[in-house]
Amino acid sequence: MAPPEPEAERLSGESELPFVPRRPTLGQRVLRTMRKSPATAWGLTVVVALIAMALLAPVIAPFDPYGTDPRASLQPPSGQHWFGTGIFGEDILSRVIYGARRDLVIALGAVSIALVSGCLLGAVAGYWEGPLGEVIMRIVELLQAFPAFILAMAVAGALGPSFRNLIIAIAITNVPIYAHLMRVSILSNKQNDYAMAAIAIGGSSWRVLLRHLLPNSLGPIFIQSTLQPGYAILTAAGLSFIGLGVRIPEPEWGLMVAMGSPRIISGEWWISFFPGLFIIIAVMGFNLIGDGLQDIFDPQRR
Amino acid sequence: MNYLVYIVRRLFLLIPLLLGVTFVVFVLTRVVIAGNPIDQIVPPMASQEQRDRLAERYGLTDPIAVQYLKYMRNLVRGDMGVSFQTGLPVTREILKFFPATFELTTYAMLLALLIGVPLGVVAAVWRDTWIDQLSRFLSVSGVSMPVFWLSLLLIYFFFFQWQIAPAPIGRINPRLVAPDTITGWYTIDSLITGNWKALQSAISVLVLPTIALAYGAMAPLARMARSGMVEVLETDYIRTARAQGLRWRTVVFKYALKNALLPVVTMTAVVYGFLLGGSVLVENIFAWPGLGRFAYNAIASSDYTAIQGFVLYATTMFVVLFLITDLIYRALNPRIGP
Repeated sequence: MAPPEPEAERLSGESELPFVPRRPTLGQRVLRTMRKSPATAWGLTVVVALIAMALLAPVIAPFDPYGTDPRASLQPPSGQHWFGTGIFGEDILSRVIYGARRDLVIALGAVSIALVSGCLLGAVAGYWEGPLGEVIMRIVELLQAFPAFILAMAVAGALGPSFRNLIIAIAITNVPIYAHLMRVSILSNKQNDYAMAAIAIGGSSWRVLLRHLLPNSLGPIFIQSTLQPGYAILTAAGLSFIGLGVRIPEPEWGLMVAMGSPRIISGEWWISFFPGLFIIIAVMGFNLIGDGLQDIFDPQRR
Repeated sequence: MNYLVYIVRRLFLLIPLLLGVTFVVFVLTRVVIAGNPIDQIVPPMASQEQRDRLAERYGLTDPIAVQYLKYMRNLVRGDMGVSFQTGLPVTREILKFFPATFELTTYAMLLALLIGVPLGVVAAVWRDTWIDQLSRFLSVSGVSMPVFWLSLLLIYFFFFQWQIAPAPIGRINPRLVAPDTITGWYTIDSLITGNWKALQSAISVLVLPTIALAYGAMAPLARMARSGMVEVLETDYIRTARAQGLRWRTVVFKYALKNALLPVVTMTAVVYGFLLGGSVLVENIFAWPGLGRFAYNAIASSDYTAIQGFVLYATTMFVVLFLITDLIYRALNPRIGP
């Protein structure tokens, strides 16, 4: 007879102390998550690879992303230029590699700004439910009345096209979602004993809010924040495509697709194709992580 | 009756919302705006005096509060100001470009509904089969693919490679005369007037931009239909219906479908907002003479009255559509009365 599994023994031992599960370490939890959801693992791999590509751009890019060479203009993909060359003879591959820097910074920057400001607004609105909270939520709802891309367009158009303004424009469209999530979370956590206790022992409002309520309300927001960078990249690329983002010759994926768009009807597909492909890869990477985490943490979702 | 009261109340609530929207747009396009719009319309050699005179004529020298009041007064009368670029009233420009966008986005919406909803339903009924995987793949790629990139790809294959689609040259072959305007929709106008050549051309140029827009719009609809259906199929009333020996097909298509599709109704407004945003990108690529292209040109020349007009129009449309779908949802769903 095979020796009983240690797990089974522990579970069946009635006379022993009640079974207390060991708290898994963070690494174990990540690993378990990955095994439960291969899609999340793929998403994480893609995003990590893109970040590595962005960081190592000077090492791996074969050419200068700003370099031009009139003699090598509009060459199809070849051994020398894997992704071909653009109208000025610029190497598309090198520009795609450097483009990861722009697009990831835009996406993560915009989402971080939206996360911090949205959470603060939502927390304040949830904690002080009176007129202050009302005003904040009315403003947030007002922002939601606009179709997201059109609001981003209006903001970026008003501020003028630049890298910084692009981040601001996308951040603004992302604020409402965090504000709503945070407010709901605070509203329910406020009723908990620990919050009452913190108030009862004389903690100041801000202290209770920032030290006790906020950290406990971050769960659902964290999951949402893994979904947003995907949309942020799409919005950024769209705005750059219509000239509201970064400017030529900056290597940014949306702008690179735009640079190739007049050439598509004459068959030079590679100028637009490869940057667009990387937009898809990046967006998919973030979305897979977000979806996977939602599936795992929200049993309601199937 | 109760429902009517609810509708009226919702319509009244629309007023402060739209006031807020106009305020945001005003702040964005007049207070925050970078660059002087006057620079866009005067030649670089214009004297300061000429610039000042123009600024005065467009009311740019007034205090900002006065500008806002004037702007609101005009807006109430349906006057959105004069476009710097064309010198024409923005309201008239929007009315001129509106039918093209309305036609394109409506066909895209219909296509997205026609494919997305059945796909989601089928994926839910045959969960975890190949059809579910296919539906998942289409959804994931639909939400990840930039609509402008898909448009370019479609042009490359269908126009350049296979030569089965016309060049991206707008709403109709430029060698044909546009059909007489009745509804403003080329497909319908040419059908009514029996202008078969125009009809054929109008349809053939519609195909690619419609597919490009619909692909992204399809994903959230399919997703919503699937999750709605999955949820309904696990409810007690469906189990009871099954237990009583009703045919599976009857249960799914007669009892489950109705409830499963309810959430899709509210989703359509959100998707339409997405289509309006996408139209800016797609119309630009397909030289489609609609509002999206109008907005693009306005941005390119910092024509703020025009940008303002477009944003106001699109947002109003979005908000009103949201209200309509919400009302339909409530009418269809007796569980949440007004």
